[in-house]
Order: sequence, then structure tokens, then C-alpha cells
Amino acid sequence: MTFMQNQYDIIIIGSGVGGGTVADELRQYVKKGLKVLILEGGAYRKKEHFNQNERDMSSIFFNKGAFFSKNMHIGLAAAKTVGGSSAVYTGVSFRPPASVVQKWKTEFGLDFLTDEFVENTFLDIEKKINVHELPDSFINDNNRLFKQAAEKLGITVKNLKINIKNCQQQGFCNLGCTVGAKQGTLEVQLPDAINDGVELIYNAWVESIGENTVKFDIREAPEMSEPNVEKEGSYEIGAKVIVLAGGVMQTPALVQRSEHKLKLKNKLVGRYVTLHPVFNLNAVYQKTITNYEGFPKAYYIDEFSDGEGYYLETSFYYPGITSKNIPGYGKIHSEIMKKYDQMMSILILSHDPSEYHNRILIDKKGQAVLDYAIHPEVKKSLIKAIRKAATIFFSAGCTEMIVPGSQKYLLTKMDSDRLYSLITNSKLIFEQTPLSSAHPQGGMRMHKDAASGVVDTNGKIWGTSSVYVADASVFPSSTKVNPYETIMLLATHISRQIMKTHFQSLIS
Amino acid sequence: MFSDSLKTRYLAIAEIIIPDIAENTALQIAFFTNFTIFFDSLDKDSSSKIELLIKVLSILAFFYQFKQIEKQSIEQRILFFDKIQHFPIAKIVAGFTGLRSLTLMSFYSMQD
Repeated sequence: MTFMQNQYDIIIIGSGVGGGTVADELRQYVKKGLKVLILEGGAYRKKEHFNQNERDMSSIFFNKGAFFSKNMHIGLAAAKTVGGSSAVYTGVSFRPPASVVQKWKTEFGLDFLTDEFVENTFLDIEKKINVHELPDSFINDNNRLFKQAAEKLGITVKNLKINIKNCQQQGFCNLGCTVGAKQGTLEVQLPDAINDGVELIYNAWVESIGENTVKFDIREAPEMSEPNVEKEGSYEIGAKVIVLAGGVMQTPALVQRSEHKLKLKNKLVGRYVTLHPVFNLNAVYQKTITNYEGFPKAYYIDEFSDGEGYYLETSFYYPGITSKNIPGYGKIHSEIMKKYDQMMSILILSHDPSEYHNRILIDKKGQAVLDYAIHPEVKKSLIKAIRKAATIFFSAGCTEMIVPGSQKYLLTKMDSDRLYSLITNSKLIFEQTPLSSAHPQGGMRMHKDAASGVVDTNGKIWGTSSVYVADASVFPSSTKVNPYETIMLLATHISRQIMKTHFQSLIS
Repeated sequence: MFSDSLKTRYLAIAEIIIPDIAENTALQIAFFTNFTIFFDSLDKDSSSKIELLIKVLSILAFFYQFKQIEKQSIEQRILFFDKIQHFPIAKIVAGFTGLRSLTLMSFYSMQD
């Protein structure tokens, strides 16, 4: 064990959307003497390390993207790289629905979410990360067909907002961008923070924390990443304030590993995790289309969100993930995959309620385990969404598809009139389906009352004096949409509260 | 790393998931190389579970046909995995779905 001589004012654990936003907010004080360090468990991959090779790039996810819930009903893709999920997302940028912000204020006491704070902060965020709608030249066939077909059915299609700059339209954003077009933490907040003197140590896996100490291991730098800046080994380091931003899987697990040191006994740690259960559906169009070029996501449908509990978004994935997303196996599956260059794709994004029994816990080795059961109502939502997506596919001109929950394995145009009887709740068996999720939220619930949450409305863990959380784990309930802007909103507030509480003298 | 016997049993399963590799030795070699790279980089817990699952599926297949899985015809193996889809132990069904995903990803992520 090496005790680092440098002592920091603030250590941020995690360099994703939450951690990067905190670093960006704090960098103005580094010039005034504030010492800030970011510890990131993943490797440092810059744009030149991404190569759009599906096998190589699976390394930027925890366990190659193969992280399953305990019951194996749902797979989770969580990033493990500098920049966190902002390195692997598509750049879709949503503000949370007004109803969600209102609920957080009235039910959980997040009174700081005033209209003025929310609006001004989002305007700043969206300007900084270049959020905008895509120009027509970025709309590929999949997006165009989706829009035309949905509108033909009388469904309102909306434009997604994306945060990209100088995009080369390589198509597979989730493998990391080789030109750094995604204006996420990796490309914007972290370089700014580092330029202003925030320090970054990567491949630094945090084992545990105390009130003012962090114990971590620096592990070997993997291939195709930056070399380590410190020697491999075990370290302990001190800080006046610790900010946890390792994401929904890792932050609650780290707090549970550290319960003894932090003298915490809060039974809500890790509880109320909520996911966006996702099916990515594919169907074969009547001729070759070029969906692996252009931008994968341009449109979405939200008119079924309040009533039926789901969004539909356009999407398109690389061949390995597409093959996994198509249910089943064998000859028919293989024949469908041979038509990859004719495929349309629709992403179903459902939203689960936050429930006490859904949680992150740790195994004997201290590693995160996701104990999660999908709500029966969400299963019904998924069925409705699959039927709707199948209707859009056929309306667009697709000729065949394989979808979850169908009595008939291969659906053809002849089946388009009986989708309601073919796709049924009883046929949707999660053990057989490739259900997955991005956007995990909750686990370190923010609440104004200590008895009802894990962190207070400043982001500080109840029962500690200097340990904060600034990632999606503090969400009291589901945002129902891609959560990145919401994480940035809360992380901005939490950073400001840290400065006011602990470093008031540096605020001019 | 897979032992030879485990490799043989796994490939007998993989041929049902991806029929193309049953008919093309070169393709099968390339696929298994790619699969091994994926498999070796998984965490120890996941790779141990996959090895165990392959062994369990092989044993169940043996009791279904009273013949080693690698000696069963393609048709016999297809029938067996149809049964596995509805096996009463949910973790076996889910495990096979996970193995299916890893197998498909290993095949379709191969570079031309």
C-alpha cells in the first residue's frame, strides 16, 4: 500500500457524465488553488483508440457488455472507460419531462429545481455540448422510412436532439467515435477540466472509501489505450470532500463496500433502482438500404409514453449486436441476418417504476449485483410497443421480421392484420428474449428526509459530512427519457452546493 | 481456455445456433478463434458459468438421446434445443439465451 503524499480538496470517483460535469463546474476554482483529482476505473481511450471494430470495442463496456441481472432477464451495457457512458452513447439529448421534475419537487422535496434554475442550467448545458436537431443530410433510410410509415399511420414523429459536432456519419456511435464528434464528457468537459489543472488517474479501481480517504488499485492499462500515469499498485489518498460518480451499478456497490468505514446503516442504499427495459427490433425491408451510414438516431415517438409506458426511437446497430437482438437462432435467424443490409430497426424504450425490491447489492467479493424484476405492467407495455413497432415496419414496406413475444417465429406481410393475436403477453418469456437496458437510474435516492432517501438535496450522503453523490443513482424515480442532461443538471447543483458548504472562501 | 472436450461439445451447440459453421470448417475455425477472444476477456465468474452451462447442456442432451451431444445428428440437436427453450428450470433457459447471444456476437462480429 502506498500513501500518496498529495492530499486533495476534492476527489471525484468516476469520469462519466456526472463526474465530468462536476469537474467542469469545479475547474474555475482550480485556478484559485482548489486541488481536484478524478479517479476513473476504466482505461483512457481517446478518439484515436476507437476503431469501430465490434470485438475490440466491446472492451469499453463492463464485462464486454455482458452484465446480467441476477435472474438473467435483462442485460445491461455499462461503460467502463474515461468519459463513461458519454463515450458510448449516441448523443441523444433529452430534458426530463416537466411531469418528472414536478414529481421530484413535490414527492421527494427537490425544491432547488425551480423553473429558473432548470431552464438556465439546460440552456448552458445545451450550448456547451452543442445540442441541436440533425440536418436533413444526416437522415438515412431507416430514419426516413420510420417517419414516413409512422405518419402514414397517424402517429406524430418528433426530431431527436443530438450533441455532435463535425460528425462523419460513421453510423456506429456506440463503439466510440473515431473523430470525437460526440460532444460528451470525453471530448468537452474532461479536456477543459484537465487543461485548467484538474488531475486524472485512470485504470484506478476504488476498493473503498472513508469519510476523507480513498483506497484504490491502479491496474494494468489495456491495449489500445493511454499508458498509466502512475505505477500499478494499491494506494490510499486523502481528500476533504469525496464525490461518487461511478454510475448506478458502481456507486451503490462502493458505498456498500465502505459501510463499515463510513459508519453507515441505511437500508435504502442500492434500493429503488429503475431501468429502461429495451427491445431493439429489426425487420427486413424490400431492398438494400444504407442504415449503417448516416446518423443512427433522428426521430422518436412519445405519444404512447403516458398512456402505454413506452417511447419508440430509431436506431441501428452493428452486425454482432443486431444478431443478438433478433430472437432465436438457427436457419431462419441465419437467413434473416444475411439480409442485414436491408434491415430497418426500431428501439422500444419502456420505463419501469422505481420499486424498493429492485436494487444493487454486492457479492462476497464486493462486486455489484443487479437484483431486478420487471414490473408486470411493463411487460404489457412491451407487448403493446412490439405490436406498434411491427405495424410501423409493415407500413414502411418491410417484408419479414422476428420479434419477441410472437406465437409465430417469422412474421411476414401476410401477418400484418393479426399482430394483436400473434404477439401476446403469454408468449413474452424474458428468459428467452434478448431484453436489455441502458439508462440505469436510482440506488442512492435523493430525498429531503433522511428516513426516505440516501442522499440529501445537496447530494450529500445522509449520515456523512463530506461524501457526495453526483450521478444517475441519485434520481428519485425514472426520468422516462435518456438521462444525460438530467444527470448534468443535478451534478451542476451538487457541485455548487459542495463549493458553498466546504470552500466558501474560494467563491468570489 | 476451453479444453478439447469442452470445445467439441460447445461447437456441437454452436452449429445449431449458426448452421453456416456446420458446413464450413474454415469458417468454424475463424468463428471459434473469435469466440475464444471474447470468452477469455470475460470476468472469471462469467466464464466459469458458461463452462458449467455447456457441461450441463451436454449432460441433458445425453439423457435426451442417450448419445454424446457431439455424436448427435443436427436434427437431433435441433429437437433437443427446442426442448431446452421450454425447460422447467428458468436459469437453464436464460443461460442458453445468454450463450446464444455470445455465440451470435462472436460470429457476426468477425471482420470480413
